[in-house]
Amino acid sequence: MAAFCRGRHRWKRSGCLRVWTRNLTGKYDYDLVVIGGGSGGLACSKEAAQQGQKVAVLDYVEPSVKGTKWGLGGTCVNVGCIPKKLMHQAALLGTAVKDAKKYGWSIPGPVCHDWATMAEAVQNHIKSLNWGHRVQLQDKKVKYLNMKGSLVDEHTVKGLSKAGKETLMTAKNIVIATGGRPKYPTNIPGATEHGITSDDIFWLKKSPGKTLVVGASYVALECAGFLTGISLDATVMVRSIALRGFDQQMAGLVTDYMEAHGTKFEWKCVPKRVDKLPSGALQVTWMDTTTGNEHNGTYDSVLWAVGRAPETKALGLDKLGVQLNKETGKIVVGADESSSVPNIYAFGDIGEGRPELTPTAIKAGKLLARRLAGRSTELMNYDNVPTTVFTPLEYGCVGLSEEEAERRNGKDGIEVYHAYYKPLEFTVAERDASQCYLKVVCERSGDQRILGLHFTGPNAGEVTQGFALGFQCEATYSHLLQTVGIHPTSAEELVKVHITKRSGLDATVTGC
Amino acid sequence: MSSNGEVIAIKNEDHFKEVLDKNQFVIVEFWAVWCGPCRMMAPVVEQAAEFFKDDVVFVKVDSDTFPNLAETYNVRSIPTIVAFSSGQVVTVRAGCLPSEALKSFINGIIGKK
Repeated sequence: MAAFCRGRHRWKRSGCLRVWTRNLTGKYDYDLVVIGGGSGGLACSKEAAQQGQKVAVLDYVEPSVKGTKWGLGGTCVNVGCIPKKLMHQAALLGTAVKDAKKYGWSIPGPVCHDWATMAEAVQNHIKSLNWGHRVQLQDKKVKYLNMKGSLVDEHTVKGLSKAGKETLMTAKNIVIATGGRPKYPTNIPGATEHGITSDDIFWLKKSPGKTLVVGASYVALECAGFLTGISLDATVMVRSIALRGFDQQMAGLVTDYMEAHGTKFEWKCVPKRVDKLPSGALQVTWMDTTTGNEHNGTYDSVLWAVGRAPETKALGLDKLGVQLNKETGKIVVGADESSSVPNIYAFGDIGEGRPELTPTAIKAGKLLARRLAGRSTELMNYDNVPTTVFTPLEYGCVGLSEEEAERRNGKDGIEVYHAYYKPLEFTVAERDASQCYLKVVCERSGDQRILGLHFTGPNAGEVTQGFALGFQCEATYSHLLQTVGIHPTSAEELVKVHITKRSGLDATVTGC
Repeated sequence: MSSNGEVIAIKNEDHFKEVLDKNQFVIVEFWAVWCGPCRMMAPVVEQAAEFFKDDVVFVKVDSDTFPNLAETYNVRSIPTIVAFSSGQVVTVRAGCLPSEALKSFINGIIGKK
C-alpha cells in the first residue's frame, strides 16, 4: 500500500472500503473521472487523456427489467443507433429483394426473413464494437472501470463492482455522462411484467412476433418500421401526435408511408392494461380517446417506446446539491456543461435541454475535455444539428421546422420552397413515391437565408449530411440555386426546388 | 509435456497460469464469439494442435470472458496468437493465419524447419 502513496497521503481502510483521501498537497487520484462509458463519456475521457490528463471512466449497465445487459459503449452502440440502423437495413433489403424481380433478377421461391440470423449478426457486430472501445481506452491510457459510479462529494467518486466491492477515487473534475434508459409506463397494469423496451428488442434471440409498439417517438416508428420490413405484424399505438417536436407535415409523410406499407396505426389510443393469456400471448386492452370505447388485441410482444428517463437515481446528486430539472429529472447545465456544483459537469442525454444524439455528445465531450485541460475555451454549438429518422421512408432535416420558423418570423416572414419528387430507382420497381418530398424553409427577404431543410426519401441521412455543411455556412436560397445538381440523384431536387407554398402551384417534379 | 492434440479452452486465469507453467511450448489463440475470422481459423488451429501434439500445447482464450488476460498480453485485434516458450512470450501474431503459415510459424517457435 505504501508504494502507492505519493507525497504525504492520509489513508484509512474501513471494512471493504479503500479510501484514498486528498493528500496535503491537494493532489487527486485522477485529473478527471467520467461516469458513463457511452458516446459522450468515451469521447470525453479519450480526449482528456490525449490532452495529458490522468483519466478514469466508469461504465456499468444495470440490466433492463427483462434482464438484458450489454458491454462498453453506451446506448448508441448497444441498444440504439447501431443495432437500429442495421435492422433498418435488414428491412430495406427485404424491399430491395422484391424490387429486384422488376430489375430482372429471378428470385426463386418465397423470400422470408429469419430473426435469429439477423439478431446474431447484429449482436456480434455490437460485441466487436464493445471490444474496440476497450482497446481504444487502453491505447489512450484511460483507466476503464466496470463499476457503477456515484458521487460521494465534489471530488470523490465511489465505484461499485458487480460483486459488490466498493472503490473510492478522488478527482479534480467529475463528468457525468450516464445518459438515459427507456421508461415503462407507471399506471398500466401488466406493463412492466409483460412488456419490453428498446433495451431488449435488439438482444432478443427469438423473433418478437406480432408486436404492439406503444409510442410515437422516432424510437417507436423506427422499431415498428423495421419489424414491418422484416415481415412481422407491427402496430403503432399513438396517444396524440407522431414525432412530437419534428416538423409535423414531414411527420405525416413518414407515418403515411408506413401505413401504406403495412404498419398498422391505432391513432389517439391509450393502452389500459396488458394481460398474459394461457397461450402465452399478450392481450392488450386500450381506449380510443376519440370515442371513449375500449378495444383489445392479441400480440406476441408489447414494446414500450414512451420516452426515456435520465440515469440519475443512483448517482447521489441530491446530497451534493446538483440541480435537476423538476420535470425531466435531467441535470441542469450551463453552456459550458457545468452543473450547479463547481467542478461537476454533465453532458449528453443527461443534460437538460440537450439533443439526445451521439454526435452532439461526442463533440460536446471533446470540447469539455479540452476546456478542463485548459487547452481551449471553445463551447459546444448546439445549433444547426442535422438529424435523420430511419423509418422505412427516411426523413432527414437540419434547422427549424416550418412551424417553428413561422413562429419566430411570422408566416409572411418566411418563404417555403417545396417539391414532391420520385426517386429514379422507384420507377422500374413500380414503387409508390407519394411521400417523397422536400422543402426548404427560408427567410422571405434579401438573399433568403435557409432556416430549415427537410427531406423524405431513400438515404435521407446521406443526403442531409452534405446540406448540413451548407446550413452551417449560413447558406441562402441564392446559394442553393447556384449549386449544380448531381444527376441522376434524389438529392439534386433540393438544389432545383423553386415552387413556393405561397404560390399554391403544383409542386410535383416532372421530367428532368 | 504433451497434450492429446486438442485445443484447451481456458476455464480461469489460474488454469491459464497452470498450462503455461507445465508446458514448454504453448500457443494461445485469443478469440471471441463475435469474430468471423476466428470461426474460419478454428479448424486450422485444431489441425495444427493435432499435428504438433507431441511438442506444443494449444490453448484458446475467450477475450470477452478474460479481458484482463487479453490486456496483459496487449491483444488489440481478434484473433491474435501469442506463442509462449517456458512461460515467456516469444511472439505475438495478430490476424488470421492459413494452415501452412500457421505451421511454419509454430515450427519457428519450437526451432524446427
